Amino acid sequence: MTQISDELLMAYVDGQLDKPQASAVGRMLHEDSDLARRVERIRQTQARLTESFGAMLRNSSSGSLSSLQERKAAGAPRLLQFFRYPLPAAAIAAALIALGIVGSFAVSSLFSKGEPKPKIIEKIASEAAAGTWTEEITKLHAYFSRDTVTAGFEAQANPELVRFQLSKIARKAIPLPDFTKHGLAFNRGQLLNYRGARMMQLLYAGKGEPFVALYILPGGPDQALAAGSPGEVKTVSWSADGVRYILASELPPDALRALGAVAQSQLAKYQ
Amino acid sequence: MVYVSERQPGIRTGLQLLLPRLKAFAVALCGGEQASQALLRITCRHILAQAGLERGRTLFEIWAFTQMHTLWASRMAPHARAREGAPADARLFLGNARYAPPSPALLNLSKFIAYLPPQQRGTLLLAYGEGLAYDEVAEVFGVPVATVMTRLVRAHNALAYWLEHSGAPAAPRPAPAQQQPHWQPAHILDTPPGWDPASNSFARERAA
Repeated sequence: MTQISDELLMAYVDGQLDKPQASAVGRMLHEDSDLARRVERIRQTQARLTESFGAMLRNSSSGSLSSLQERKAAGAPRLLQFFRYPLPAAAIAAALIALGIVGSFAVSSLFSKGEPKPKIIEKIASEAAAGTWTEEITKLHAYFSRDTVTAGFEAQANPELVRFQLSKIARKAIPLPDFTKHGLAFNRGQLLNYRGARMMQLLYAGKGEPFVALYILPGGPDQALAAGSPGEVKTVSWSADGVRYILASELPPDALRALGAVAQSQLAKYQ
Repeated sequence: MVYVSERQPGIRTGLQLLLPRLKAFAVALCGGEQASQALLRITCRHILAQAGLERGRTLFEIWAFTQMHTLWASRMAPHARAREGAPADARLFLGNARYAPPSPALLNLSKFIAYLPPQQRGTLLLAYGEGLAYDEVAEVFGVPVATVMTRLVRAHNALAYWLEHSGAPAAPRPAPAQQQPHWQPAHILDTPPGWDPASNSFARERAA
């Protein structure tokens, strides 16, 4: 655990951290009295806020608290698919390209079966039909240049907060792979939208080498490590335990495959 | 768990059940009784008109809160910004103490809440009143989870500072290195307007 921000402590008090993170924070509280004092202060204000806003709802209705209790008791997964996270310009451009590929299906459906389809639309539709996650991520990654790799309002540089966000979209604890022994430091994590689902992009950068991005998207059957996309952007992809991963970079293929194996082994140890 | 698309046949019933919670959210956003009633009305009309078009797996309540916030942001927030600096009606945040003598602590807290920016009040209501997860709150407001967490942390810090200094005769000062809230000494209320400690009631209730 590197630094404990107020946001992370608040998430701990609010019960929003995954179990491994919460346990780690709990252990640190025993060792650090300043941390314990900060948590106690948050607990006091949380109690006041819960009392006040809970009372406000109770005044409105007798049913509101029961729905809250029902939600907690049910513990059912929340399936939320309408997200409106703002994206940086490069990601918006890439997302529009991806949408354009998907949207070609809608264009081709405008033509009835009897009418001949324009060749350009047939070409786009066939390319879209062949498109896979790997191919689309490769295209997306090509839009990121080194000067866009900075931490910003929507991109988190704090690895603990990124881990927290990652646990929310994957619905389980996933560590951030560590490539420091390979000269690559964690730079930032950013949530992107991919076909209505949330995807995490983790960026690692070295001193002069091409940066490396790890894309993480829930879903998909288990697949072994595989290299892909001949061209400037190289990828290695794999799936494990219901989560898909793609490492993308302009590094040489062997170096990228080695990083992929490192990430795979670190993630496997955590499961 | 009920999703929007499944609610079609019983949308009116579902909306009726949700009304009190939507009203509380409207109060948090608008900070005034009339404005919150107006927001609730336009939200209900919108929900009844739009719910039939929704397809997907969004929880009905999350979707309803999102619609309300979107309507508030597009139609009411610009007018609210013109009155920036004026606090909300603290009486609206007294909870069930509206019908019972409010404790000094609750009075104090309602004043604090009245001075918060609307988006922060709404975030606090959804997180600590409704008990939504951070990502659900983020979806309602259409912001990143980090923004929700920042709003909550700022509220925690401001409240801690307020509690430490509550009862001081001067205007509340913001906690150090925090965003400057729009507090003005002239708007500090020792008791809610119209509240008579001797009879433990508001003037309008006595008149009624």
